[in-house]
Amino acid sequence: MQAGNADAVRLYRDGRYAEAAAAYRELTRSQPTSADAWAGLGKSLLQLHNPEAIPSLARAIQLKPGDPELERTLARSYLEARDLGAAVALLEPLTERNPKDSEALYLLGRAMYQQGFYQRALQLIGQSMALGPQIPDAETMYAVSLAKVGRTAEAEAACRRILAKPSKGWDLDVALTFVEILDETDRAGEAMLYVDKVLNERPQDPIAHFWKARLLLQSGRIDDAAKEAEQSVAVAPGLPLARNLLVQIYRRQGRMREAQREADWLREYHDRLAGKGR
Amino acid sequence: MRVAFALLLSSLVLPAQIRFEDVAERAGLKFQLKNGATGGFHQIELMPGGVAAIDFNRDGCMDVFFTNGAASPSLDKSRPEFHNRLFQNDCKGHFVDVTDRAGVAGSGYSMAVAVADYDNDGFPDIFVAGVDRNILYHNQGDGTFRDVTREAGLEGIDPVYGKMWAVSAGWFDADNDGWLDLFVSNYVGWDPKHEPVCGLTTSRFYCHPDAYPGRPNQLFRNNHNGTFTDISASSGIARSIGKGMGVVFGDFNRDGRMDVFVANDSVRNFLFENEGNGKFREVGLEAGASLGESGRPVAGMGAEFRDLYNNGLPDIVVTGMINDSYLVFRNLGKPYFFEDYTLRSGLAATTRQLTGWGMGAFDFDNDGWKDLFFANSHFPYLDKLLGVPAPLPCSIFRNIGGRFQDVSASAGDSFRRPALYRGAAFADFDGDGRVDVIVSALNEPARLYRNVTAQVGHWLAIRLVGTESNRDGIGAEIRLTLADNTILHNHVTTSVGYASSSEPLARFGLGKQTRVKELRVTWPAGHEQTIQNIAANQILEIREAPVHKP
Repeated sequence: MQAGNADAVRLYRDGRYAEAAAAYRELTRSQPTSADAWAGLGKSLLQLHNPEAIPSLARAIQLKPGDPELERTLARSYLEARDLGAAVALLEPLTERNPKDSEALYLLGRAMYQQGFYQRALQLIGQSMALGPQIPDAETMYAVSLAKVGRTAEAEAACRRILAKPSKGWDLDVALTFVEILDETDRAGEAMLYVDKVLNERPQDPIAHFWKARLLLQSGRIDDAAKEAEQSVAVAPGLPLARNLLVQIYRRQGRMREAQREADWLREYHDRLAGKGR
Repeated sequence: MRVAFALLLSSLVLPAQIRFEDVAERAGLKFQLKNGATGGFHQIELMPGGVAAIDFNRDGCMDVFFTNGAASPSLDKSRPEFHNRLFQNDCKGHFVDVTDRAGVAGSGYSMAVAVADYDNDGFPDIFVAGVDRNILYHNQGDGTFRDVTREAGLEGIDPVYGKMWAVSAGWFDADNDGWLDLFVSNYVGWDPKHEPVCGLTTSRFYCHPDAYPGRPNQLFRNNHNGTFTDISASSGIARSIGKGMGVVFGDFNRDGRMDVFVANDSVRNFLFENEGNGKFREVGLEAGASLGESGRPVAGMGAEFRDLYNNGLPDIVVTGMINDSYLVFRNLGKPYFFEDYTLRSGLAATTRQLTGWGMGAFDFDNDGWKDLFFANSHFPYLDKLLGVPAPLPCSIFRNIGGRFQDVSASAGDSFRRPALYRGAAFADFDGDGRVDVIVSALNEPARLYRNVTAQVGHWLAIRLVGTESNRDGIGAEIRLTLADNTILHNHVTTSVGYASSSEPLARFGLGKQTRVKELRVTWPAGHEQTIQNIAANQILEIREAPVHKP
């Protein structure tokens, strides 16, 4: 049994998560009361983005209550599954018990961020960053949250800092937040430069195309704006944002039938969410 | 365009710091809006309540009517703390509670108030919208009101959905026949027996509107005899299902017919284009006023439909929830209509962390540009998630040639007191030519923000008396030409903001100008009336001139 456990641990360490999950699953069968086996299975499944991680980790916590590392991992699984309420319910007591649990603070901040509670996210992620160690996502979320709560100058500085770092590619959230800041502060020209840089890296990104269309529309380049918005729709036909822009653009171009087509699409999209009238 | 704004601005602007002072207590205006919450987290508890500025006794001084909640979820209003309240202005800066004498304490859980003279007898009447129960009070002209809801046919029972939860209402002349019709904005289907449970395991809070089904709005046509006909279905209004909050009126396409804008909570906003012949078509998406530029709906609450840019085209402003930003839809006229101007208006970043309810666009410093007032408050019990307390102060944004600057911080200490603010009504309560604001606050005393701005500009207020048109002149458009050829626009409406009703006057700030060269009224009946050479700083009553029909 010990050998099996060692194999599973090694497989996990080597990043062979599917095989590790299989090994741990075997262990949970032979040792159904082993918290380590359930925890190992849960962690392996989490690495595989498999929602079955949640019941495995919950079982591990049942067997080994009060283990903060297990609770953080389960919270991470809830966040991945976008069960934000469950994540918060787990993380709040954890951060109350230990206000210096940097990772739990970060995870709780992330839960708040994902729900749009940016002020609270800012507080929690800020505390986590101050305690260290640095978590790559934290800096991004902190910068975006600064922008969302209207601390524009700090947000701009944070975005510039992140974007100046040498990396494989830009963080899209940061780059587009930066574009928004520039646009909000009457620097549409600079915003356009950054949108173009994003599009160079990610030519198929619908949000970047939408932003470019938005900036072009503001500068009166209606035909170019139409092309960009159409590109955004072509890349992500299910997204409503560029279609809303296209209604305005087509109207300005006198393309009323096409404007109506986009409006009809939006009406159907939103009515599907809200319910139909009589 | 900005250059033109700047040039125009230079002729009007005065360096005034907008300031308010809360004088409610001193003025005897003691009212607390009670939502009856006892920990059951019933959705209705979030939404009250509206305020109205109403000169019910026609003494020339604006009185105040407050709607109030009730026990929740029983909707029992019998306890005096839940009564709706009418306060009479003694014209000397003091208000007296005349609710019982007037007979307007009400029943049920009240939300909104809409004031207008629906029977053209010269006395303003009161419509109270609420949960499962609306009330129409006819002003009998002797200081008392009579509940005429049933005989008027305004119980508002929908043939499909039954009783409705109305959050706002407004009077407008939908068919320009000289009689005011009634639009009722309905929120969601709500049944206390099936109240959804939301929140965390550790703390419960009120549910998101997604947890409740939407409802159609209602339109009631005035039959000219004290009764109304429900034309919600035949007019096309009921075709759109939303989660209606504030309702406001303006003629966005300049065809002489009043159109309707409804701010919806978390679903797209509605713009009902008045096509004439009792028909409306929802064109919000086509006209660009349904969604912000991001393409997603906001938690729309209060709204205003008024010309912010002095170009004769009514624009739309909508308050929303935290992260939404309050939206400004600028009207570009045919064929484009509205563009989301939020970012360029200066409101995007400054309102993103606010949640807004009542609002209004009035020229608080009389510089010729309509400023924006917002009654703010986050949702209660979300403090832990928001990272900030739910009570917020009100905000005031000064219009500087079309761009809005947040001047709240210097608007006065009493103005900055946070609360769970809701409805707001606008009127010159003390007759000094400066627009004051009355604001309700959940489970706290209402505020009467007296406008104490120093160095304000000159002003002119217009009170219309319709003869062919509705008596209040609601829907009439007024265009002023000043001595330096500056042109200012406004229209008459009592429907402003959220669940509330403001004075039926059209007000103008004139800046340094002491005379108006020409005033032109376009009456709802369709004809124009022009008056020349008018002195500033007065309330000018204009009676509709008879139309010479061939």
